[in-house]
This record gives sequence, structure tokens and C-alpha cells, in this order.
Amino acid sequence: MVKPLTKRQKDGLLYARRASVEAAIDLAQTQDLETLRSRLRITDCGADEYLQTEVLVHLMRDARRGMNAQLMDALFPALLKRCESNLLASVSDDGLATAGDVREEILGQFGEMFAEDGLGDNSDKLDYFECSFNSAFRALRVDAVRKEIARLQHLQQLPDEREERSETDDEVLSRISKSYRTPGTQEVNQLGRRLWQRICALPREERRAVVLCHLLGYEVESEDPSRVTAETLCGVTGRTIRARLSRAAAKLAKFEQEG
Amino acid sequence: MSQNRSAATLSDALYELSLAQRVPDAPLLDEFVRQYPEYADDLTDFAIMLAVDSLREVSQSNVPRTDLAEDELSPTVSRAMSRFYNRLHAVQSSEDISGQKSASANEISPNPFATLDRAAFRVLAEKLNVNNVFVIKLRDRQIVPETIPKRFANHLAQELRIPPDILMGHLHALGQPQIQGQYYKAATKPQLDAKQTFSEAVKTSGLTDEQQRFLLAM
Repeated sequence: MVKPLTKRQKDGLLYARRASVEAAIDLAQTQDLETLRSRLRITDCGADEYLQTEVLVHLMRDARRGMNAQLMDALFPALLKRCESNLLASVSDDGLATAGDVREEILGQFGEMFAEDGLGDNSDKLDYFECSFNSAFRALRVDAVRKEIARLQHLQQLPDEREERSETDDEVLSRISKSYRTPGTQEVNQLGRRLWQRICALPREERRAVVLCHLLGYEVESEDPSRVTAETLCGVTGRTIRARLSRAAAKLAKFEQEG
Repeated sequence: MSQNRSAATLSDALYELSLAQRVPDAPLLDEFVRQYPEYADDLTDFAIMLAVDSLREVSQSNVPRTDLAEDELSPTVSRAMSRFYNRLHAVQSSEDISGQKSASANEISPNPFATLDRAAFRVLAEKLNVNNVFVIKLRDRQIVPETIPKRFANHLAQELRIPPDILMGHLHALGQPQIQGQYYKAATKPQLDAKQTFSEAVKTSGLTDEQQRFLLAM
């Protein structure tokens, strides 16, 4: 029986591992080091003997608590290699000028989390990674990337004068909404990757306007003062939001024309 | 609920948001902003980046790399391992200083690596023809002293500018004193003897083939 996680959700419920992860941990804990090493060499995530990353995180935490140097040396490089593969695909050099530094920082932060596991504010933060590794690692990665983008992009306080929107602008924004709501097809994924790079390249305020209104589905503004809108979230008028959308759409349309 | 609120950090709120739904939407963000109004701006920014991120096809975490040999570590992974070991050393040292556990006579043996700053640490690794991970294992007494070739031990003592017997005293001191006290949470008793032989350490530290051949020939 694997020890339950201690991290709680905002409604007070405990996070829990998937049943398949619990069963895999139970099995792995009965296996010797050589067996685990051979399982770590399996890279096909569909194979029966493949060690799920959530399981790997649990075993590594256990090894660190027990200061089992041999086990840590077997598990940790394998875990970090998987993370690095994820980062090479998700924080690509063509999307961010300092991608290499960001990848290294994320991986370093992740490594330090194991050293601090069980201590202070980080006592059970790795519970998230045992619950859903991909979602937790995405949080770590996206938070690091957003901070880096904010650091690189000096806030551009451009005048918010342009409000007229052309048909081309609206088409671009419409495609963004469609891409977000119908993920999965190859065509949409390819479009999505390009859009991702271009939206990331927008100034922060324009990016916020586009994503809030066309991805997350917020209204620009509302007459109902209790309603959360892009206007209330950004703390500006609806007119300003529309101007930012217009400028962003023009830039995205220009990107498209340039290919 | 209020207990959870007071204990929650921004970082927790971001993890919770990411775990709550694969692709965020306005109702989810509204819910989190209501729950954590003090983090409203960061949560909004974060949700925006999650939404943008989901536009692109995210690769699985388990995609194998093909440009490295199975046992080879990239410089990025090696440096992440170094950060782990250095952080581990720091938290354990800080526990030692706080006096939250009793120290045996062995444990208070002076650590000849303690005076090395980052640059000196790197220079030492270069002079020994190893990497930081391997030096960290020596520093943290993770290698069985009897298995270290005399030639290597003498070279290490010379580079640390200490007599060989002082070095051996450090290497023989109680392995991981830090496993006692509040950090011990494992279901089974930690093993003080979970050390590596010199050759095992050589093979599992991400050293290049050339470095491994050099060290194993000693």
C-alpha cells in the first residue's frame, strides 16, 4: 500500500494518484535495482514494463528520503532525461531567444525540488508530479516561460488609437478561436504551433487581449458590473481592449502574409 | 477551506490550475481568481500562457532522445544533477548548523571540500579529469573509500592541499549524517551503506567515455 499524497486541492480534498500509478509503484517497490535499471532503459511508453514518470518521481522521492545513493543515481538521470526531452519539444529555440537558458533553469529548479522535498514550503510540492506529471511539469514550464517572456519584452506603452478592424484582422482572430476549440487535427496543430510563436511574440498587453477574448472566451466588456470581462481583468476600458485586439490582429495577419 | 487558503502559495495555485483542466477556459479562471484574489494578476497571466501553450502540439514527456547514448548525460542534465546535489548538501548543512540532530565525532570531521567556492570546485573537477557530479560524490562521501585507487586519492589530496590521511579521514567519516532527524520520512530505515564503489561512481556520473577509461585505468 503506497503512502497517500498529502497535498490538498483548493476544495480541501486530497490529491490522489491514478490507480494504475499506485499499482505500478507497489510492483516497482518489490523489484531490485537491476530490474529497475532494465525497466528504465525502456523508452516505449506503451510497453508493459515501462516505468511511468509518476512512478519514477515516487521512487526518486523515496530514494532521496532514504539517502539511497545507488538508487538515486539510477533513477534521477533517467527522470531528468525525460524532462529534457519534454523541454526540447516544448521550449524550442525558434520560439524563444533564450530557450536554452530557460530549459536549463526549469530542469535545475525541478532537480532542487527533490533536494528540498519534505522541507518547509516545498514539503509536498512533488505530490503534484505523482498525481499528474505532465500537468505539473507543464505548470513549472509555463510559469518559467511566462516570466522569461515578461523579462525580455519591455512593456510597450503604445498609444491605443487604432480601433478600426479590417476583414482580414477578423479572419485571423476567428482562426485563432477555431484552432483553440478544435485541437487534435494535424492541420490545426501545425497552425497552432505557428500561432503559438506569433502570439508569444506580441507585446504583453496585446497578447492578453487576444487570449482572453479569443481563447478563453471572455467578453471585451459588459454593462453588468458584476461580470468578469477582459476589461475588468486588464483594468482598462473596453475601447482600449478593442484597440489592442486590432493591433494584434494586424500583426498576426502580417505574420501570415510573410509566411 | 480557510486553512487551505492561508497555506496556499502562488506556486500552489498555479499547479492547481494546471492540474484542474487540460485546457483552461473563462469559468475555470474565474473560479481560481475568486479563490485566490491576491494572485488574480498572476493567475490571469498564467492561464493566458497555458491557453497559448495548448495551441501547439505538446510533445509527450516520454519522447526518447536519439542523439545521446543510453548512459550519456547532456550538459543540461549534468548541471541539473549538480544543482540537486548542491542543494541537498546545502539543506543538510543547514540542518547541521541548526543543531537539530546530534553529531557524532565522526560527523564533525572537517570537510576539505567545504572551503571551495563554485569556481574552485569546477577547477578541481577539471584537474581531476572528472565532472562536478563526481566531485560531489567525493565531497558527500558517497564512494566507498577502500575502492578509490591510491593514485587518484593522492592526486585529490594534492589538489586539495591536504595530507592524504586527512582526506581519507573525511572519506571514512560517517557517510550521510544528514539522514537522521526530521528529513527521514521513508518507510524503511535509511541505509548508511548505500554507497557506490569507485568504478560504479565512475560509470554513473555522466562522465565521458574517455574520462571513464582514464579513471578506471588507475
